[in-house]
Amino acid sequence: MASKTSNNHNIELNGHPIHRSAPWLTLTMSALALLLYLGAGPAAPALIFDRVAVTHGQWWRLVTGHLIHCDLSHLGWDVAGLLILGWLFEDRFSRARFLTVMASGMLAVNAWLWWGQAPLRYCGLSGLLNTLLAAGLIQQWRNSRSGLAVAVGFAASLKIALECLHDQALFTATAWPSVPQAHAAGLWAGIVISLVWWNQLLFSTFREKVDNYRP
Amino acid sequence: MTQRTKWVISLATSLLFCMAFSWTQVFAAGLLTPKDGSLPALAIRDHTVKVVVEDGYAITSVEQVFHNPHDRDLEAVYSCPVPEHAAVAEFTMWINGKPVTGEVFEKKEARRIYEEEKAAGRDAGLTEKDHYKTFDISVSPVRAGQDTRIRLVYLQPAHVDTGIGRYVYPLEDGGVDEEKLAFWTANDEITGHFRFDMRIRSSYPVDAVRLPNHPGAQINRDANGDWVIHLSNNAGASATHAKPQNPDLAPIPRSAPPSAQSDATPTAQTVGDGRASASFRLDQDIVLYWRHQEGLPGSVEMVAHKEAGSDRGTFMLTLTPGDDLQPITGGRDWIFVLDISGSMRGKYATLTDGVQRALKKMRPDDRFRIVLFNDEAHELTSGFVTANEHNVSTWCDKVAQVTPSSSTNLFAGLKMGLRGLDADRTGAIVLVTDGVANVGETAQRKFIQLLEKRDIRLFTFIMGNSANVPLLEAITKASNGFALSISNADDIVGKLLLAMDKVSHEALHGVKLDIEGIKVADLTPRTIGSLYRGQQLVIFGHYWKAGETTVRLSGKVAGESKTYQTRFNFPSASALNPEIERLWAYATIEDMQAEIEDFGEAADLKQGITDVALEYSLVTDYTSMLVMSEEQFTQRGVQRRNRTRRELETTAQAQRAVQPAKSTRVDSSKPMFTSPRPSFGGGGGALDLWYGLLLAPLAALRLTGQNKNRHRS
Repeated sequence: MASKTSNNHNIELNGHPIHRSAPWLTLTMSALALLLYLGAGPAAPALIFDRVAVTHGQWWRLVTGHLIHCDLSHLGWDVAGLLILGWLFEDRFSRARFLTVMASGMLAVNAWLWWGQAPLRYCGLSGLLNTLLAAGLIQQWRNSRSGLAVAVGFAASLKIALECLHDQALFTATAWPSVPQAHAAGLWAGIVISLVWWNQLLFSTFREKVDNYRP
Repeated sequence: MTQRTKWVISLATSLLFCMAFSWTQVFAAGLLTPKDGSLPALAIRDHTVKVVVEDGYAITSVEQVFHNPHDRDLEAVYSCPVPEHAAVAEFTMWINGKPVTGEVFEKKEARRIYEEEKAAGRDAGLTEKDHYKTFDISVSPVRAGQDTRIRLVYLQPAHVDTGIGRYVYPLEDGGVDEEKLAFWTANDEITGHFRFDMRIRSSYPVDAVRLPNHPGAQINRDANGDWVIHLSNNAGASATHAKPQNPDLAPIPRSAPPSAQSDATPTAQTVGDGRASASFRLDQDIVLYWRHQEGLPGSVEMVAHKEAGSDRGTFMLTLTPGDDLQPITGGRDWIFVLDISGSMRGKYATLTDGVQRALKKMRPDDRFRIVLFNDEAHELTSGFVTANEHNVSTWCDKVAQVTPSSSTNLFAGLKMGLRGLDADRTGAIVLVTDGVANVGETAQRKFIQLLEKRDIRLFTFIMGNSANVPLLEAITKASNGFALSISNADDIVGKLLLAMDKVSHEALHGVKLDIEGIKVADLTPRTIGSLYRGQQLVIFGHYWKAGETTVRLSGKVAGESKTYQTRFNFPSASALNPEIERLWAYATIEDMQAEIEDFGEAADLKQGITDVALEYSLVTDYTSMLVMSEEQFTQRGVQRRNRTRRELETTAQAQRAVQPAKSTRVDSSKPMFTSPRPSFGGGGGALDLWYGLLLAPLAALRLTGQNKNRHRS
């Protein structure tokens, strides 16, 4: 993948300039979650993921469900988590890729909500945050072979596995019970999307090398 | 003194006053003694409760030993609240060391024979029903210095609502019968052993069991997958402090009011057999919840009883609809009509807790009014108030400051609640009461006429035991709303979430059930009314012959017709659930009783109830169960109908007990509902402090600049 640094803040990625002094996408998502909570209230009935309503054609819930929160504590932890993760990882991705990470998280969590043994109603950003965490850590490891990234990734996976085993969150108590399986789905989405990109990169590097050796 | 300090002192004083006041108003199940001291008090030595929940109903057996420490023979009168929809199936008394099962007589006749036996100094026992309030058990004599042992067995449907089953062993008296309270004092202390054993047998996976007010209960699963719950004063004395073997698993946070929690710790003492034990008081309900696994299918279950060769069978159909009712998203108007009469004293803390939580769960575009009533009604708010944070907080405080007193003019409360409705907004009345209308208009028909004038749903929260459930359920049904019973020992948050879940979704109104293909009759309930999200529909009836039938459930959701259909077989013979016959009979009696409440005590209805009760040996307002010695039964030429029926039932129960719980689902091949059942609440989950700690090293690296060698992809 052709990317080059033109200065400290301006980066080109596949010919598209990247300039970010702040994690704008993260800030936008956080603001959106906050505004939806203030405007529509906790667990807004018209916006949460509600399986029945989706079957009646209310498709927006597949997106808005992830931005709605059931209480202040839920909102607080998720938005704080998003801000930290965005600050750490957003500038590791192009805008398109950052949005792809989030979209893949949504897809995975929704798929689990639809086909898994899931609650009929769901809300919150936490599934997507786990996607961002996984993709960010893998990206960091790819860049720096950081052992810390591996350790953090391992610890996060262990925590989610334990929570799935006990079917409840270990450290949080929100108005709606925690769904650790959604976190696991999100985490897997982050791993899968990173592997897809990595394979694409390896394939393109391989093609590049083959082309270079072509007489 | 600062304003804040004054406020804190005032609040603390109010709380202390309320606690002290409610303490003096604790009523309970127990042995009754005249307050005038004309008779000495007897003691409850042992109290053993065994409950089995299976196939959609619960069988509760209560065995008690009364002790007479005095030097003369005495009569024992034990009174306990009537459990919801409970049909007494057995009253047994040990006479000369042998159990003798009672038979049902017309009420006056039973009392007359009991008095004759008592006067003759022979052993006799009588179980009577005091309308919707109490079961009263009289036993004579309890011999000087000796014990008398009795057993009461009752059946009741055990439904599941939104995936949560609930069982209540009612002990806390509702305190609604002022005359009775003025005359009697209840001895609710068990001096010997208290045991509560419950077994939940379900073919659907139950993934959690919870006793919100008894954290010391032992909860286990046996090899068959049954849930086994044990609570006793022996084990309980230590269990209150010990970690339960199985922790609370239900998602509902514990929030029982302080008044209900105060009696959880028994006081240690030594009982007659020398073992260290703890006295136990029968003043707090035992409430138990069980939770079904998420994602179970909507279904139709049938339990039938038809003896081989018999032409007629009895069935109980339980329909658990799938979750296909849409959420209601617009702002709504809520009118809280709250009972502040004197009988609410012991329950008012629970009421205010519930109302506060309900108000806090409202959306910003919702509005509310609060109407209070005792012997007259007045509005606390002045018209509708927007449900913003400030208003909710202000009005919550005002509700909490009220002290219940005087009588109950329920009619006036509802009438005021119906005033000033906004025709452009959807509205609902939330009525919270212990439902003993004793001032002003009290006729059920008048209540129904009042509600029929306006198109508004009534959602009724029935507080405590001994409430006038027949009246409250009838008026609620007439408005197409729903009624929920609440005990002081209930998980208020859980009950509230259950109610909010229902009112925030569309409902199936004008529900009808058609059964075609075989002959069916005597269906009860005769009119179904509405089905709210999570509610099960339970229908009893008779059928003739056997064969494949089409069962069709229809109704309207938001004005549009909706029909569900399935086909299955009614069995030609089925002998494992003979209790179904009594459950049908009791449901039929309740239907007739509702008609009496509505239109007056017509002779044919009264006779109808008596006939059914005598045929199926049930205790009702018109019939009682009497025990006397076998010789006296023979001498008086009494047919032992109930004894025969009990033998049939206990044989079937023993057969069921050795088998794993069997599925009673009948629509597996042609499911009636396509969606899974609704479950309790939704799911979420947030990142937490632990994540923060995990990410801290990465953040530190970033801050110190060591992590700036970044590549973007």
